[in-house]
Amino acid sequence: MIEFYHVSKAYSGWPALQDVSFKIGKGEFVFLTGPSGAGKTTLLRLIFRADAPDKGQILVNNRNLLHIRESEIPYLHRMIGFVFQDFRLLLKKTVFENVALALKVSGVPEGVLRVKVAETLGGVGLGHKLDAMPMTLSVGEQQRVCLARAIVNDPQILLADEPTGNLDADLSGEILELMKSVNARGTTVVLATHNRDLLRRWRRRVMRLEQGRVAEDGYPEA
Amino acid sequence: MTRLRYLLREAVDNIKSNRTTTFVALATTTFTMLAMGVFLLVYLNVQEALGSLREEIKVIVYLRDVVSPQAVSRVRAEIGQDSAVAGIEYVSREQALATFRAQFPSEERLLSGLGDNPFPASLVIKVSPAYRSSEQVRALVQKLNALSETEEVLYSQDWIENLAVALRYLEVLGLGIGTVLAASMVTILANTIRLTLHARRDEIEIMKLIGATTAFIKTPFVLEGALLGGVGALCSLFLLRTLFGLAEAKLALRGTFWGIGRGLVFLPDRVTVAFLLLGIMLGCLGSVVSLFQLRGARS
Repeated sequence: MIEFYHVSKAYSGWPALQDVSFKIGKGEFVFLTGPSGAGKTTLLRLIFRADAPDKGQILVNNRNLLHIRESEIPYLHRMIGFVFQDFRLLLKKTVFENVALALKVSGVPEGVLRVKVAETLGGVGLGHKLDAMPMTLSVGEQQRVCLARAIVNDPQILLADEPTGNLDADLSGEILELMKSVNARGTTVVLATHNRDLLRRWRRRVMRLEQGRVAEDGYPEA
Repeated sequence: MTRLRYLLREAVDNIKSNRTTTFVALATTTFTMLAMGVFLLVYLNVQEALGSLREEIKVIVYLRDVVSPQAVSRVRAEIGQDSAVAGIEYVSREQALATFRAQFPSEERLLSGLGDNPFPASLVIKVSPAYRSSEQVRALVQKLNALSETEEVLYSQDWIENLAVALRYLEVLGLGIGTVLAASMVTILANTIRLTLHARRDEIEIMKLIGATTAFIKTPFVLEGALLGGVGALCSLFLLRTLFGLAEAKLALRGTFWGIGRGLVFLPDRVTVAFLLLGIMLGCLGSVVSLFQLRGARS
């Protein structure tokens, strides 16, 4: 599903990733961990094709991202859901509109869209807040809206960049449970986090980055 | 339909979220297009008047005093064969004198000093519509001058041609002024759209991240420009019609203008539609100019 071959990326001469190679299979759940500046966000941005690597090859769903045209990027983005640490919600639009936008950009008919958005928001526990404005929601609720927006169009891959960075332990647990349920439906999930507690709660493959390199990659021992 | 409705609503939201700037842009667009409309109106009316004048082109052949009635009939028949001639009217010396007396009764004493009827007989020739260019009229005049019965030939072509040349200058001037006004309108609208783009930059970024195509992101801004241009053009047409009506009523411009044509005319329907389309097109152009900054901004 996601393949990196000797990928390097530097920003202003500073190496963010160095000779990184790995494969993530379809339906896998991978924790991406490591200290700040280790290259977690860079790695996610490269999968999302928000950036291009300086060296190496990246394949997503067997498409080489080096050869993808600019006009094809929106279609790649529709295949990959992204959950941001800072939510990035449209503050002047309702919860429903925020989530619906992800379907509108794909031209989903209004009738299907309404059902799908309501279902997805119901799934993350926000079925009663369709018409609420994002600023009236708690932090945990805002993150759930962000998650709903990322999964409403059934993406093949879900990337989450520190989704629990602003949340307490209970809310972090809730978000993890939601991610687990998304993964259970067959979606490949890559979750970047500092939160060791999450890693303990659910033992899944952990890829630890250090100074732009893969320092560890495997399943934690019980 | 979902997408179209969404794009239209976004365009209207853009306008609502930037009310002051939109109002200024709309006012500027209205007055810029009003200036264009006034110029267009002047141009069309001069053109209309010129068209009427061309219909009035007549060539007058003054005949020698010695020409007999038989000779007049022969000359008349000869001239009538020319395809450039649409009609001939014979004005006898007596008719010419009577016409003068009727038109200038106060100048009667002038005639008494001249003794006999001083007016020559003449043939008033109406030129066919297809032969009204300067060259064609001059060629006809040359032929008429060559006739032995001709004393003098007079025609009103020159000043009409001068007016036609003036109209061509007016066209060039109009094109220049129109271009400057259109450019300023595009610039103003482009700046308005740029402000909207700036206000919604976070939103645009998010839309890119969730898979919106460039067309999906840009279309509401193009529609916003089209809407501003179209509404500006509509407002200017309304103002232009009001001003035209006021000018007609207050300045007593109804009726014929210098006795020419049918008086002042407003923009014909097809020009009005073209004017509206021009506003929409310039609005779109303003948006496209401002949207150039989005190019390559995809992260």
